[in-house]
Amino acid sequence: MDKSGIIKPAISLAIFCLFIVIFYFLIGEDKTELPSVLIDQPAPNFEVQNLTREGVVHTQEDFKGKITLLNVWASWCPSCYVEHPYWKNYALNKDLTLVGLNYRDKKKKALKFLREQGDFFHWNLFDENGRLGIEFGVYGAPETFLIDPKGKIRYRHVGVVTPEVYQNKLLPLIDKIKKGF
Amino acid sequence: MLTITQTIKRLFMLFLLLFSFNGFAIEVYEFDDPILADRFKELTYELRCPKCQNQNLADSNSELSLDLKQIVYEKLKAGESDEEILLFMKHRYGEFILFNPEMSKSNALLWTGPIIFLMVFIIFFFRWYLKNREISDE
Amino acid sequence: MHAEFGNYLIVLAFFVTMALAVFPMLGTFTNNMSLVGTAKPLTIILFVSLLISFSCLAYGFLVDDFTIAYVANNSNSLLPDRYKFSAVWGAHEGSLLLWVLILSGWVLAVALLGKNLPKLSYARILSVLGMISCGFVSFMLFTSNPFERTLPFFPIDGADLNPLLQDFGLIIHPPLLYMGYVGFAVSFAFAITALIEGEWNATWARWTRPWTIAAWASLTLGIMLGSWWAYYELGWGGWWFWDPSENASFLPWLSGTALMHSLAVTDKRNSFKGWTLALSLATFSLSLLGMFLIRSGVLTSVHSFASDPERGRFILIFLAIVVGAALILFLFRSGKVKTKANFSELSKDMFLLLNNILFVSATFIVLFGTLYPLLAEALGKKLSVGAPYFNAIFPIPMVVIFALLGVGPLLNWKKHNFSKLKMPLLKIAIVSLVLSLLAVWSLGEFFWWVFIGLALSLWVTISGFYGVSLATRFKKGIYAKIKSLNRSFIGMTVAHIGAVVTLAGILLTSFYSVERDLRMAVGESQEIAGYTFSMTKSEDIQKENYQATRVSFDVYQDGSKILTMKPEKRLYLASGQIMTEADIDFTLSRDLYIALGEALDRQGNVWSVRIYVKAFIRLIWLGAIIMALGGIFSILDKRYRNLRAEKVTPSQVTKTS
Repeated sequence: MDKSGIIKPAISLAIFCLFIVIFYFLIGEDKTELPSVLIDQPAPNFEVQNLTREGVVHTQEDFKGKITLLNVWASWCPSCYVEHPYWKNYALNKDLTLVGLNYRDKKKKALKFLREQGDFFHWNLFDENGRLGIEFGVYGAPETFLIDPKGKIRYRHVGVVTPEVYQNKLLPLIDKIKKGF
Repeated sequence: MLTITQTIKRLFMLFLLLFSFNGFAIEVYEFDDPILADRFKELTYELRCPKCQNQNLADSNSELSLDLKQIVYEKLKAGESDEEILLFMKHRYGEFILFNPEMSKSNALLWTGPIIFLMVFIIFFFRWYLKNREISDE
Repeated sequence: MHAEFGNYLIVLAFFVTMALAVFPMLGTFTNNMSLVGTAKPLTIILFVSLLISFSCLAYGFLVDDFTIAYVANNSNSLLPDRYKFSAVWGAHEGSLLLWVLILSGWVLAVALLGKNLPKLSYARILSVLGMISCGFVSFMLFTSNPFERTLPFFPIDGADLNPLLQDFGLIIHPPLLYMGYVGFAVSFAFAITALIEGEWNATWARWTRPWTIAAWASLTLGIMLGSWWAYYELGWGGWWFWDPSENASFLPWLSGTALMHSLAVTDKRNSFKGWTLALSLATFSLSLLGMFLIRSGVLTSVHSFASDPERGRFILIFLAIVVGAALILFLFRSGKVKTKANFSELSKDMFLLLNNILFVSATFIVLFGTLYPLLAEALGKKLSVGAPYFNAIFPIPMVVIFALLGVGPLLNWKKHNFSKLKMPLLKIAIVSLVLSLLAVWSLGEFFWWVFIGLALSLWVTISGFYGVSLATRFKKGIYAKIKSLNRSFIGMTVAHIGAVVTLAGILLTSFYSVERDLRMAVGESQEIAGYTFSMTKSEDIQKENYQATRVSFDVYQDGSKILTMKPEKRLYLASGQIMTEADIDFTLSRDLYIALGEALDRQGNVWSVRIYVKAFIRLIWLGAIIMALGGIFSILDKRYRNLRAEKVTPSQVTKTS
């Protein structure tokens, strides 16, 4: 094939460099992390029993009018034991309503968890078969969703919500929501 | 006032709650209709396990995969179409869960890339061939 | 002692590769013959030191030396000896050591058998191979040393080899695969040297051909083993998933096939030089790319080694240097080796050129599909490209290739008079279509893909035999005919037939297999595809390093019992991992495959089972073996033997860039 001077080599080398750069930046990224596709979508409709109070049923309407942190947890999830004590501090934030989503757990074990680790949630949803989790696109525990007063999901965090995550990722967004955005 | 869809959804969830599973991994999905069985096979091959290392639902034994397979099973029995089931999964887990990439505008390059490559190649080749022919007859 | 010794030898190897990379090459440009002469001795030292180092690691495994971290992580005192040995390459660090050992073996072979190459080229080729080896040895030495210790606190027993890998397949799959991957480094080195020297002639091509074919055959077998192993070991009846790690091995295979054929043209006609050079560079680059993709953690795959960003970056830089240098050399120096199109539309040359284009397109398809998720991710979108995509697009160039394959080998070089071929080809086409139709009709349901695929298989096969008859038409008697054929020709025909055997197997198994997931209890029977499976008993057993529940099935066909199958569910004691071990009964026409799912009751008498009747699946791997045999046979052709006697044309005395 003809060589069109310097253009063809330049393009080839440019594409090559581009790939190397892309690969370089992709190294080290957590490949298991899945971004949520529900950001800025309304929370899914549901009707789920309360974990601790018999006969009480919750729906997505219960998220309206408040800023909610929905935490997906389970007694079989090791990281949840690490994360749970942090919620005690986050509960001090009067702007927030903390809701637990007990995911694919046995009621007895879940209640035991709350008894032993403490219950810092305003209420807990009992998602025994995991279907509610699937509605939220949950693929593991712990996961935490930030839901605004209109009932829209604004953020999802996969993994433990450490104080760093709370400070750097959640609080700024909560601020924004408070200001009406 | 609830719409009909919302009512059905609520009843469906209630139904699921009443007959929820005891956390026991049952893998057998029985269909009377072989066509449904085939569709089940196809769908579970096309859907990706969201938390595995590149496995489809059919091959994966993770709890989430079992849950999702169960959902596919129920939806097939309920008469939903393949598109509806795939859309259900995509709305919750994103395009990542589809092993068969959508034929959408954003994926245009993916589906047309190879054809374009081949065409460009052939065009370049013919131009070269016609310009550089030099056959000496014996 | 063996651990220290093994480690020091790797350090020695590092310095040797550096010397090999620099001295001979330097010597060729400064006309320093003693520097040039260092190539061969350095190669020998390199191979021997790596061989001994490898043996030290193997020894460490066999004596349960858990002070070596790699041994502690991948072995166990209860592990049977044969798996202790294969565990040497069971994980990242050890497999790297195997890789560089095999590479040094190839380099040594070139050094010993390349005596008749022009002296300066010989030195340069070995230097380039030295540079490549240096990269791999440094990678191992600085990021992945297999001799790292667990001292001062070493474990009493090891973590055990992953049960999935405790298998015959693991023993031979990686070595064969690596033979292929690194074997392509030889033609790469030749190509680089040719570009440096500004010259590439037909005799070089003839010289590189057997090496490339050997690498290709090895890779064919390696991939085939991987597919076969996944099939029986993973328990789900699949044989190819288009998983990134599989694609990583398939890419150099596709490119290598094109290279192999392009080399033939350069050998015979002294043309296609640009193609052959480009393909030589591309094939090994794809090997490197594959290594990067798998070991860097950039792609998610069931087959990934544990990834480490530091390792990923190292390989990437190595890849960038090697491929970048190759690319630059090619872009700026390939002009010196251009050829004219000295062939007409209907000629073997033209068909092989189309073959090149099509195989490169096929390579592009697999490459693009594999990398696209990465590109999309860089742009913020997370998506998956899986089997449905590849199965939709990949067959397209392949169908064309198989169609051409029925004609190409029959054509003459340069120019062919088609009128003589028209009738025979037409007849072969009709026979193929008719026989295929009959076959599909006898198998039951009609599927277009099977019909086309079988027709193509017959088309290529019959045409192959026709080609043999044409080539021997002037000889009388079978014996004379066979004797007159050269091995290259036989090898080619055999390999092509192997390819279509694989094609037939793929299509037949995809469309005519039956798979059922069932719930069965002891005493129950199920009828599937003409066979009756009867679950007879469930028992617990204990072996060296695992406990298992073994469920027995009696299999009946036409009312009489034909065999008993015994799949197991195993618990490996050291790691606590649970594996399902399928039982497979195979014949050429079908596999009976039973895998246990989960126990549905406490006694283990009720199980979810997968029962497959896989039609003709053995053909897939049989075809690959035939392909490899064809390749190996063609290497034995007399023309390559003469190379050792004749002097390769020297056309460079003081060629510099």
